Amino acid sequence: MSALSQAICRPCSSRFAASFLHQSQPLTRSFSTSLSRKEQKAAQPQTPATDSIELGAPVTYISESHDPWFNLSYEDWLMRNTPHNQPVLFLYRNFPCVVIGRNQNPWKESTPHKLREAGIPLVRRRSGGGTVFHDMGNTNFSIILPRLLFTRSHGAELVSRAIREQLAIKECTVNERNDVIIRDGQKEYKMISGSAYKIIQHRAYHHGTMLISSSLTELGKSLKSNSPNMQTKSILSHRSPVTTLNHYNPSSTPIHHDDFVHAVTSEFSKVYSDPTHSKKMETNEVNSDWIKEPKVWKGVEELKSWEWQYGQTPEFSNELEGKLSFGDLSTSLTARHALITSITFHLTPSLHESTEETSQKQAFLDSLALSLVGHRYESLDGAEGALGHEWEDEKWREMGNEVIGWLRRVM
Amino acid sequence: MISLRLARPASSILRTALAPQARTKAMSFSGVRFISTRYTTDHEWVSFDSNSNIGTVGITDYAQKALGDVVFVELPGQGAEVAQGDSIGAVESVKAASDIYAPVSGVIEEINETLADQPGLLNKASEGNGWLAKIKLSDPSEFEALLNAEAYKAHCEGQ
Repeated sequence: MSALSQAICRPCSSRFAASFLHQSQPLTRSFSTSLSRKEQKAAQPQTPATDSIELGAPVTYISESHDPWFNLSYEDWLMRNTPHNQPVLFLYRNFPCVVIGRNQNPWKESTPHKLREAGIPLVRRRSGGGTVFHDMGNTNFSIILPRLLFTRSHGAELVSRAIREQLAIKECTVNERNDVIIRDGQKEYKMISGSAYKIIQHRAYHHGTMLISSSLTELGKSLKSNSPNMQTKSILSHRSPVTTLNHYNPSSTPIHHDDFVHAVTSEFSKVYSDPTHSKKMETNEVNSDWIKEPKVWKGVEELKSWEWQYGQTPEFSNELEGKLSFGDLSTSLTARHALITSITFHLTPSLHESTEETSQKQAFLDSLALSLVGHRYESLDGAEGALGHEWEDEKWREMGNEVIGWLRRVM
Repeated sequence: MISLRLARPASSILRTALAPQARTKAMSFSGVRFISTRYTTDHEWVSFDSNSNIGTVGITDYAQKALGDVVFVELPGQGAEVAQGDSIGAVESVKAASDIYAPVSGVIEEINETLADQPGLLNKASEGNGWLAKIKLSDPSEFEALLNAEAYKAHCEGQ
């Protein structure tokens, strides 16, 4: 890996080195006393393989890119291409985006068209779990280890220890769901971090968010669904009250990304570096401009594809109701891979309408419904209205456009 | 596929896993019908019917215990061609997405549709009704090279 990592990342830039040096005066004192071999082993994941696995020297990668697709793809690439026994820490921040879990429904977790209007991308990650909001006030950590050392608690414990010991937030701890939380008083707690895991043949990662100074208003706004009637087989997010690290920061100087990066990096080094056996931690800065590895960019394309972002959605159904110019319309539909598999319209006509008129409109709607099967949910790309000679008249075309336009707004 | 390890060796599981082997020499009307079960180091099982050339694939009880409560099972499409070792789907349990690998090469004949509504079957009956897919083997010798029950048991204990 070392040759490879040098090819793609250059060692920590002077800017980072400077920030480490700058902070290390007050902060290093607590960790300069390195752990004994025994303490170190105890801080590593405890599985039946702990004693038999010989770990390599740890490596930290710090991304300078804020592109969520690049960072997620690079994380996946690190998991698949670093040596199986090498502990890897990856730290990154993304510009504002909503990140949903692998098996979630984007319409149930948020309102995709509202996010598009707000310029907030919706990203589906490869790990499990629920939806999180990212912005530049949130730093993501990812701890990649040999699969046989995977535990759900290790990463959360490491990060919460870093926050307690190096950022002096004593209220920071881990709950039974292995989330890093702030315990406020005896019973109350608030989430500052969401976590999820990905496990492959020889490797596994625990990644999580850390709300340092995120906009909780934006977070709340972005995670609202507009589809109350949607029934889905997808994983539903566990909604929890949230707070930020800075809200509990005892110091008068606010905590920044670099402080958190420093705290987690040094805790990681404390647990995995072994200078006596020349296993010193190496730190690399990652800049997307220097990454030429085709697999990373192929991963970016995959993450951005409609097939992954929406088509990966587990089966769902939805019911929609609306007042349209020609009457009240109710719709029920089912979708698989976010493609409509069945849809029906039911028209409640206006009071003064003749039965004949109503049944003709209903016949048109039945025909329109049939034409929508197979189209993408919400975007209804390529939907052209009801097929057949009898519906070629301008009146029907307009009615069809009205229904399709309405569906695109409410789906 | 499964990473987690259990504190206890999977001996009780293996006793049940051995049961299909007892059927190995059951005669069927069209001739000698061999159904035997083999395992991978990724904690998957394949029960192969030499008559139909179809292997039923699932995860072992050991794997199921390591995963914890399964909440979602993602399977490949029917008719998909898979090569041994390919990732063919994923299982989600307690916020973890774990890859499933094809233990043998071939074509997906059938997937277990019940898992879409009852992912928990993977926990309840991972080596029975919780099977994942049926694969028509393109190279039955791949099956012969997998671990027998005894070797798989040794693998679990050695991990």
